Amino acid sequence: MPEFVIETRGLRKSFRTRHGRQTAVDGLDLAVPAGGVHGFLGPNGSGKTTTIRMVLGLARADAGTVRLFGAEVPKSLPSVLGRVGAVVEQPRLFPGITGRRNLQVLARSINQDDRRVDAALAAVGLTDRAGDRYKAYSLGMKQRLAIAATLLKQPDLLVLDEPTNGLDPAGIREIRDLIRALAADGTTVLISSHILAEVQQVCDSVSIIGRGRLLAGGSVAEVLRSTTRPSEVRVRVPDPAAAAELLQGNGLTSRPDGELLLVGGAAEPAQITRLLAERGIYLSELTPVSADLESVFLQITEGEGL
Amino acid sequence: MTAGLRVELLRLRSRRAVLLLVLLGLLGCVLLIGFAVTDAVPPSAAELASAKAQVDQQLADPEFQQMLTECRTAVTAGGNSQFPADLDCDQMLPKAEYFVDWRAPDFVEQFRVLLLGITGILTLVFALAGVTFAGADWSSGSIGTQLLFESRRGRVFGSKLGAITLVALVIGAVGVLLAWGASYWMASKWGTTALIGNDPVTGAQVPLSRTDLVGRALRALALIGGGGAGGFALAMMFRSSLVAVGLVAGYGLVGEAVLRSVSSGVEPYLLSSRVAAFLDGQYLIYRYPNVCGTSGCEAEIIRISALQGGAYIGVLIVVVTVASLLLFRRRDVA
Ligand SMILES: Nc1ncnc2c1ncn2[C@@H]1O[C@H](COP(=O)(O)OP(=O)(O)O)[C@@H](O)[C@H]1O
Ligand SMILES: [Mg+2]
Repeated sequence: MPEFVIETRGLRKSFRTRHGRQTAVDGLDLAVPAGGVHGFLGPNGSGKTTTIRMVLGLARADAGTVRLFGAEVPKSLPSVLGRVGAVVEQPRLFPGITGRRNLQVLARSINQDDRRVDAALAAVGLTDRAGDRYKAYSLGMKQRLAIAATLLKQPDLLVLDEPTNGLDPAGIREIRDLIRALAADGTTVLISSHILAEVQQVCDSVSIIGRGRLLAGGSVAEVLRSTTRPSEVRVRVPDPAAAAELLQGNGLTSRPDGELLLVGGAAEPAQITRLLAERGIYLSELTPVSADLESVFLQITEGEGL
Repeated sequence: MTAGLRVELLRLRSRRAVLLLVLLGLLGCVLLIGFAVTDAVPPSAAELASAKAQVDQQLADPEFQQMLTECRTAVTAGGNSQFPADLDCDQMLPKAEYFVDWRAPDFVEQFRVLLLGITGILTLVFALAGVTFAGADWSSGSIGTQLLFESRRGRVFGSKLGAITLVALVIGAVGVLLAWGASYWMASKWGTTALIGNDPVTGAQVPLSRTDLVGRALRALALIGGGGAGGFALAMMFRSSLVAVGLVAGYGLVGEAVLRSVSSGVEPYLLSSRVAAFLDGQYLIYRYPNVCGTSGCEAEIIRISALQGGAYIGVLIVVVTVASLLLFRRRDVA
């Protein structure tokens, strides 16, 4: 097994539009490690879907290379396609036929029988509604059926492009639980999203892209650590205004956060405690604020002018 | 390839629109045969009696009797300007069959007419079935999902094309056999099954062989299959049922009329002429000269043979299909 299930180098793709050519993916180097859940993050229009389509052979790259399980795409795609399940952008199945029938036809095309279909339906909790026509499904059910279709292959890699788009919180949780369960079973999951808070909880590693280029990548911890914004501390004091003045006078930053104060620039929390105590200001609460992907993301993309 | 074909047959069978079209097509064939049978049923005793009564009534008409007498007198006397000497006056006598609207069914003619109708219906049905089969893949976006299960696009295209063509041929064969069976049944029961046709120019009777009729049946079948394949390839090329149907309807309803109005010389090259020639064995175009000579106006007859018709249609379908396949292999899929 190669170290990376997906590896792109210098991947490039532009589209002809009314305003000339528009670059969607701009020399992207993406590496998705085997195992775990990998977040593919970027704002809307940053080229996530286009990248995924090229990786899956649905779209042709202008330049660059794609390797899927080490096989060159699109040339050797057929040899590894059976190991990859994917839902790109939105579920796309036949509206006029039942959920089960939709899966049956797809199962036949990979020489699987109805047992696989039943298992996939059960895995996404659609057994009871399998006899309903697809067009009568809610968006969440459509999304789950599309995921069930990918499970027909018992894939080693599952690619989900913004799987929670348009879902309500319950639907989002269902999808997230499903992803966790699959990852626990050893499936590598690539999940793209423009909402970071949503995937942060399930991802082991991330790649952040903007304007078709890789901006940051690695394990979630690494990406968080690499952030240049110093970590802040939230403190509760009787007189925030006086405390803020004092801290700023000593080269720290501070901004109000409700009744509390967000303090940055301190080498360690003890520095804040000492400075305030020396002036007779005693704090009743101090919590380190850990950076989350959202702020990392905002920071990176701000820097890129995105 | 056969596995892919089986999958596409299942996919085709799952589509309501396709099932409905095929059902409607078969219904149309049965209706057509029903009309033909109604026409072929010999007149009833009551109809014959009424015809007989009309004959008697005419015979009893004094004006008619007078004319008959005048005719006979004139002919015996060596003829005059109104009744020439070689006239057989008895031909003027009314006969019962003049008063019943019935002709004994003739196998060759029945088969020809029924086959034309059935082929027309089924070709249209399978062209539409091919269009919606391909169009639905694109409108639902399902083609993208399918390509994640089989990425070899040439195979996907081939399996789909094979499935729709195969179904068209099978149902087409049913239609052709229905036409054959119904014609033969009517002809043997009430008319003649002699294999005799008419020359379209002279009207003279010409003997036919069974091979002529089988050839006719096979050409009909080929057109039905070609309709399915062509409809599929066209919708695959434009990725839309609507565009494909619009294009064909536009050509049929407006395109040919415009071409005809541009030049009268274009008729031999119109698709409709070629289809007619292919189906009916030949298609004759009468072209009259602008200035008539002293010997009157002799039309020039342009004959398009079945082979010329078939070659034209075949090339057209192959070109559209190959272009459609190449585009499908190259272009991005959403
Ligand atoms: N088929 C297409 N034709 C023209 N432009 C496209 C097409 N697909 C994507 N784009 C453009 O490429 C850019 C990247 O799009 P996309 O890959 O869908 O981004 P994301 O999935 O990250 O939201 C966008 O600016 C989008 O408008
Ligand atoms: Mg997208």
